Order: sequence, then structure tokens, then C-alpha cells
Amino acid sequence: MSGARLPLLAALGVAFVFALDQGAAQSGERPGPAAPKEWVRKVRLSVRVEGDGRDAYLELPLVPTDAHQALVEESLETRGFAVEFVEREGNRLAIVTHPAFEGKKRITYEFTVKVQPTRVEVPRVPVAADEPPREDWLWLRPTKQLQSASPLIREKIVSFARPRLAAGDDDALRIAWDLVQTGYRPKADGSRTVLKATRTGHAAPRGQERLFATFLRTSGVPARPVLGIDLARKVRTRSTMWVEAKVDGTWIPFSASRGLWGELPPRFLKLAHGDRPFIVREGIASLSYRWKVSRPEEVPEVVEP
Amino acid sequence: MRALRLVPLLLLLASVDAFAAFDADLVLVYGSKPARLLPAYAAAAQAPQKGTDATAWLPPVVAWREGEEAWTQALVRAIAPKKTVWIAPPDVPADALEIPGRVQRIVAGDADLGLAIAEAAFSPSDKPRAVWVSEADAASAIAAAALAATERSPLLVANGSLEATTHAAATLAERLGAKEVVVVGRTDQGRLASQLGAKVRVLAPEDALRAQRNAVRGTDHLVLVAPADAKGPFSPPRLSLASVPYVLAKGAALAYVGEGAGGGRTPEEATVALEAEGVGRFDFVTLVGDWLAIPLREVQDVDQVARGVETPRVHKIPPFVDLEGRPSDRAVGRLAALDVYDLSRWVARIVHGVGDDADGVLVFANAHDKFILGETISRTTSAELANAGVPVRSFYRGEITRERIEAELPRHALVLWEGHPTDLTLGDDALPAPQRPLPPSTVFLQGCYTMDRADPFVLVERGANAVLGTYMAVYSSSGSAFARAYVNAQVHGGATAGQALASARNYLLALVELKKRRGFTDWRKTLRAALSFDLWGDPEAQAPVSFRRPKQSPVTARLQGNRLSVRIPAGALPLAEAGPYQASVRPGGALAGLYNFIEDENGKVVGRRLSELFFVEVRLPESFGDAPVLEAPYPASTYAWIFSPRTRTLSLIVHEEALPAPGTAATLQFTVRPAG
Repeated sequence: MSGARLPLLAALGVAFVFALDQGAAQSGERPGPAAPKEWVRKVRLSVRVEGDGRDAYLELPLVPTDAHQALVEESLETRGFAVEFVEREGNRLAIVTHPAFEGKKRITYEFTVKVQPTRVEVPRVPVAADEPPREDWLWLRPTKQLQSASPLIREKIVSFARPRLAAGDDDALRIAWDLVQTGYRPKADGSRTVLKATRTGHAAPRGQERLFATFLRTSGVPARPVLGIDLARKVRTRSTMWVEAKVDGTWIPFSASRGLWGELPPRFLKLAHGDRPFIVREGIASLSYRWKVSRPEEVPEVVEP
Repeated sequence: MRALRLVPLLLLLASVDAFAAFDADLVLVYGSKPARLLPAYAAAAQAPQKGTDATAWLPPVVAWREGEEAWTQALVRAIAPKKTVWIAPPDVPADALEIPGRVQRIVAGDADLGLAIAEAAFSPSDKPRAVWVSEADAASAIAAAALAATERSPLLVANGSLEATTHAAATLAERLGAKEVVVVGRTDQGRLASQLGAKVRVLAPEDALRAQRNAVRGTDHLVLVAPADAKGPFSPPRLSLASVPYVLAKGAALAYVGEGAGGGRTPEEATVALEAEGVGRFDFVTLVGDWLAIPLREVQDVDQVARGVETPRVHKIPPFVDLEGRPSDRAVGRLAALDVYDLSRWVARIVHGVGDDADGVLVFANAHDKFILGETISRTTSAELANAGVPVRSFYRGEITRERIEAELPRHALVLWEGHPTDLTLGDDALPAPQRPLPPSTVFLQGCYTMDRADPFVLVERGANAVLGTYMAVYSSSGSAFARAYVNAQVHGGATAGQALASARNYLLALVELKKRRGFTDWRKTLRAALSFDLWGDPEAQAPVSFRRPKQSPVTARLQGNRLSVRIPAGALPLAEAGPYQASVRPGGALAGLYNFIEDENGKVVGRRLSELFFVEVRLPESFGDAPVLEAPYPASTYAWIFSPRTRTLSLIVHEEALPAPGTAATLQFTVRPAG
């Protein structure tokens, strides 16, 4: 954990009070033509946890800093939970625990971020035929939601790609992209899992993102879903997903469901990546959370690690 | 001429003694490159144990890599090795797995790893007859690995230049005192020999395969492999590579099917051709490969075609299944997994019987409360198993919860899921499998399209030893009747997994004939169910639970001369009831979607009673010909049969209307005669 990125966490258990209500709610906000290139937002995540006497364990993702976004400041109020900060597979995580947890508690994570629009020239990546290097395997292997080794998935992409490969087109990114765009009917309440989407032929936005990441992995391109929030959407539907693919050592954003090819608008804020739930939990009877996004009046300097 | 060229090799294969190899009870290989994995098989091979069909004994050789740690670790724990050989490139962390006991580490880059494996396993005192070399392609390397392991000789698989690898092999042969270098591939023998100045012999891949088959001539088990699954884009699973220890343990003949080295042959074509050559009489056939490598046939829905549906659905059907309803006459299983890592663990479980202990049967039926008729039959299956002394835990409808699945699934050796095709493992509305490993269980997924989903792969990945299911829609009555027939074949017939599958298929095919005789026009739905079931697993595997002598006697059959007697005992299993349906069936008896209405004294229908059926199989001597005829003093609509000329098995189904009265004991008499 980077202590420098979490200056306020040094005083654990101390509540920091921000002027959270910055006026008008952000519900339904859309970046219009005059929208600023850089978005600065103050965000609060409230997690309501209910225990039933078991040892409670939570993994809460903390905002990363990368080329797309910069964390300005953050604080975590855990109200009686023990907390440890770790970095796993490139994710910053707060490990929150409580022995024999009973009753209800609220965990609050507040942060301020600056988010830039991202646009990257996407190079061509040939479909891989060799065993991948070890360092990439973490982002190539099949996982619970990205079943890239399944014959159902392989059958789908092999049959789609065969004529293109025969014609000399072996661009793995384009093949996977075009397959998701043309091989599945977008449907808001469609399937969110890759196998069911492949069986039914329709996919929800989350299913489209997972399909794209899955097909990339099958093709030998390291890829991972990104869990994030849409700073411009309504409170209850902020959680969202897109995909990052590793090309020439750089992670490039894509969103198959939004048609974003190598670009990411500033309204999207990354929280974590990989095939994982937003909040990993064990020993918890129930959990719910909500977001609040506001515009800060004054933004402090960016804290670099 | 080719066969003559192989004679010296065969003589040598027949005379090999038990040479030393790895002194280990587990071999862990990082990655799945042929140049790494296949030499490990050869280096691990020891003389077969006496009294087995095996051509070599190997400790479990398990391939693994990142992402496989959890399941590999579970297997390591179950094996509890005292000595492990670890084979990996230098950049693999030595502590990636927790390995008890002593660990011998063979660590080298890919260029040197094959040689390092051979040098670690062999010394001049082992006196290996030859050093084997293979080209890099899987077809050559798999055959070479099987031959090298059979004669306990080292194998090097070319990583780059074949000449360079052969040169290294010649040096190794000289050091070990081996008589020759045998190269499997398509290269020029004379040129190699002149370059190396050593005794070099070249075998084309097909000759190497022929040598392997000649070494096991007369075997009843054929393993069909698709080496094309080891190369190409889009994450080829390389399952063919993990077939070697299975082939060796079974003493089976090896042949290639599918694209590339398989010459486009189907499993049926390859099997029939080899039988015609006299290689063996293959009662057991194992396919190693998923349906991309070894395709399933795709056929239009037989029922919809007959009904004139304009665009009938297209279904996959397993190999060796006849669309016209001819009897199933081979025990067939498929070893399909997500990748070579899963398959290497699966083969280790199959061959070595390792895995956490579990016993008893778990039945989940009608979770969605839609298939009452199937549930009724399923209840009699539970009773059948209990009658054979097997602990059974059965749950129905609302009793089947997420928590119950998580708790119960890892505890049982046989799991019977009957009903709507809810994923046990993953899905939008999934009932979850536990994240912990499963015992080496048999999981019977009786429902629609259950093999066309993630479940079988995930179950195999986590430790299941066999999965049965379907590639198309089946009605619950036919599906549950099939599952009951499968269980009966194991409980009362001692059938292996593949034999039980064939027997259950033949039950439905005989039922089709009975339905035709009774004038039912929906018999194609039953035929569709008969075509749909498949086994992923070892067709030679014994039942996963042990049975005791049944408390209540079962239905039996006996052939004396041309008299076939079917004895129906008096004692029935407990009455099964679900919704409006009820079933009373004798042990070993059968059921289907045939029933009568139950009326009260006022003639009002108050329920439905399933008709009891009796299914028996007997072997007929050659004298009855290939189309025997049955005659009996009962109405023709009360019995039907099918006959397999290949196995000479007569499968007879009898309706309860042949009895003097429903539920009574009887000995039914049939006369068998040749046709004409």
C-alpha cells in the first residue's frame, strides 16, 4: 500500500468530514459539447454491512492513479473494523475485517479524483499461436466469468475468424471486437455471462464486455475487465464495466458495449480490474452500497506516490 | 512390407525388462509444451504391474501452470507424495506449490530441458535399448512417447532443429550405452546416419503408431486422439498430449482422428478400419479431445423432421450412436477438459484412483418443480440404490437450495441431477458448485443440453471422474428412465460406466420398439433421448459406489436352449409418489412415460400409475443368427426387442400387461429362434 497516496488513512478510525453536498445532484448528467476535458469530482462510497456473528472479511477496491485518472485525496472510515492496505494483481485494496461481527455498520470511503479523457492509437496485434510468456498468463488464463478455454467460446471465435485468417487478416483485437459487435444481439436484460450469451446469442452490456475480454484471452491478448463507476450517471446505476487489453506493454481501454475503441471519456473512473466482484466479501449476512458524486469547490494538489 | 520392417522393434518391445526411471510417486511438469511434457512420460515409465493390461506403469504425471494451483494442490494433497520430481524452467517459483516429502528439481530452459529430464532419469546401468527422438509435431511426439515409455527408454522432442536434437540424442545414446537412436518423423534416415555416424532409424509417424498398436495387438480398448488440438491459434487445449499415460495404463491401441494427422477420419471410421486390420476387437473406445478436435455429428431433430417442422433444430450426437436406432454395441467414453492441465489431473485420478474419499449417492430431482413424472421415476432410482445397500440422500423441488448444493456436492461418489438444466456451477441464475475440490465422483446431469454447458468442464476441473449428460432436449420421463436404466445396469449387471451407458441407451431403443408395437406415434421423442446421452469419462470405470446384494431380489433373465425365461419377483420397491403420479416397481424393473389413470369408486380420475416395465439383456449364441426373433404367448404389444450382432446381446423389454395381473410375481417365457 502506498502510504503517500493515503495520507489521511494514517489516522485510522478518525472521521473526516467533507463538504459533500455541492449543490445540484449529478443524476443523469451528460457531458455536452462544452464539457471540460478534465473532470474533477469528489466521490463518497457508503457501504452498509450486516453481520451474523461470523468473522467478517471485505476487500474494498481503492481508486488507482494511472494515465486516465489521478487520485487527489482519499479517506476511509471503517468504524470498528480492522483495516489493512495491500496491492494485489495491480489493484489497491483495503482488507477490512471484524471478528464475530454482529449487527450493522457503515464503512465510508471518500476521495477526490481528476479524470482525463483517454484516446490511444490501437496497434495491430496478431493472434498468438505460441504458449504465452509467464508474466502475461495472469491476464490470459480462463477465470470464472471469462471462460476463454471453453470449447463453446473457442468454437465461436474459430468459426468467425477462419475466413479472416485465411484472407490474411490476423488482427486479434479487431477479430474479437467484430465478433462481439456482429455475433451477439445487444439487449439490456440479456445475458451477462459469456457462455449463456453464446448459447442465446444476446448479451447485456456487461456480457458484451466480458465476451470481448474472453475472446481476447482466447486469442492470446492479455485482457481484463475493469470495474468502475460512471460519474455522470444516476446514483443507483453508477457501477459499470469496460475492458483493458495489453498491447506492447500498455493497457488500452475498450468498451464493446459503448463502441469505445481505444478511448475512455473522463466520466468513467476506474476502481479495480480483473474478474472479481466489486467488493469481495465473506462472513457477511448482507451488504449494500451507494455512491454520491459531487463537484469540489477547491481541489488540492495531486499527490503522486 | 511396412509390418515386416517393424518386426525387430516389436521383438525388442516384447523383451524389455524393468529399467529404472524416475524414482518418484508424483511428477509435476510446468507448462504443456510437447518438448517438456512428453519426455517426462518416457522418463517416468516403469515396468507394468503384473496382472494388468498396462504396457507401462507411471506415477501421476501432472501438468500445471498459473491458474491451476488450487486444483493441482488439492491433487498433491490427495496423493501425499513421499518423493516428487519437479520439472520447470528456471523462472518458475519453487514455492508455487506446497509439496510434501522430498522434491527432486529438474530446472532448465526449454532448449536443454528434454536432455536434463533424460539425464536425471537414466544412467548407463539402466541400459536403455534406444534413445527416442521426435519431431516437434504432436502426432510424432505422442506416438514416440508411447513407444519410448513402453520400452522404458528416454525421449527427446525437437524444440527447434531435428538434426540438433538427434545429435544430442546420439551423444546421450553413447553415454547410456543405448544401441540406437530412433527418430519419429519425416526425415531422411541415410542423411541423419551419415551426419551422426551413429545407428539411427527413422519411423514415419504412422509407422510409429502401427508399432504401438502391434505391441498391444488383441487389446479390447482403443484410444482415439486428435493431435491437431495441440497447435494453432485460439488457445488449443492440447488434450492429446495427456493421452499418453492413459493409453499406457490401459494397454490400449492408439489411433488418430480428426484434422491433420487424423486424416479427417471419424471415430467410427478409424475403429472399423483398425478392426478390419485385425488390430483388436474394440469393446471399449475412449476419445481424448473436445468436440472441436473430435467433432460430434450434427443431425436434424428426428422428431421435428418427422413432424414436418420447417426449420428443425440441429443437435449434436455422440459417436457410435445410430440415427436409425440400431443397438449400442460399444462402451464409449470421452475425455474432454478445458485444457491439458485439467486432463492431466483427470488421467491421474482415473489411472491411480486418487482423490478425496466420498461415498454414497446424492440425488437432486425436479429442482424447478416442473417435472413431476421424472421425479416419480427418480424416486424409484433412489429406492433401487438403497435396496442395494447404498447410502442415498435425495432432495426434491424446494429442498434443493444453493446452500444444500454447496454442502452436499463434495460429499458423494455418485451425484444424480434430474430436471431443468440449471447450471450447477455457473450461470446467470446459477445454483453454485462449491469452490472447494470435488471427490472423484460420477455426476449424472439428466436434463436438456447438460453437456453443452460449462458444468461438465467445471466438474472435471474440480475433481469429478465422470460426467454424463445430453446434447439435446429430452423429456423428463425418458431422461429419468434412462438414468434409472443406467443405475440398474451397474447395480444388477456390474456394468462399467461405458457398458451402463450402452445398456441404458439400448433400454430406450427397445422402448422405442415397444411404443411402435403399442401404436404410440410419439416414439421419436424417445429415440431422440436415446441418441442424446454421452459419457465423459473412462468407459472401463467401475461404479463409483459399492453395492451389496439387493435386499429384495431383482428381475432376472436366463437363456436355456431357445427358451428365455424372465423372472419377475414378488417384492417391489417402496411405492414412489409425486404429485398425481405413483410408481411401484420391482428391483431391476424399468419405467417410462407410460401410465394408466387411477379412478376412485365413482370413476373420477384421482391419479396416474406408471406402467411397470421389465428390461433384460442376454447373450445369444451364433446359432441364432444376426436377426433373432422372439415369440411368446403374450400379446405382441407387451414386448419388443433389439439385437446387436456385434455383441450378440439381445435386449428385451416387457410391459406389465404380459403379467397375469399388475404387480404379481411371474416367470415369463419366450422362445428365441433365428429369422426366416
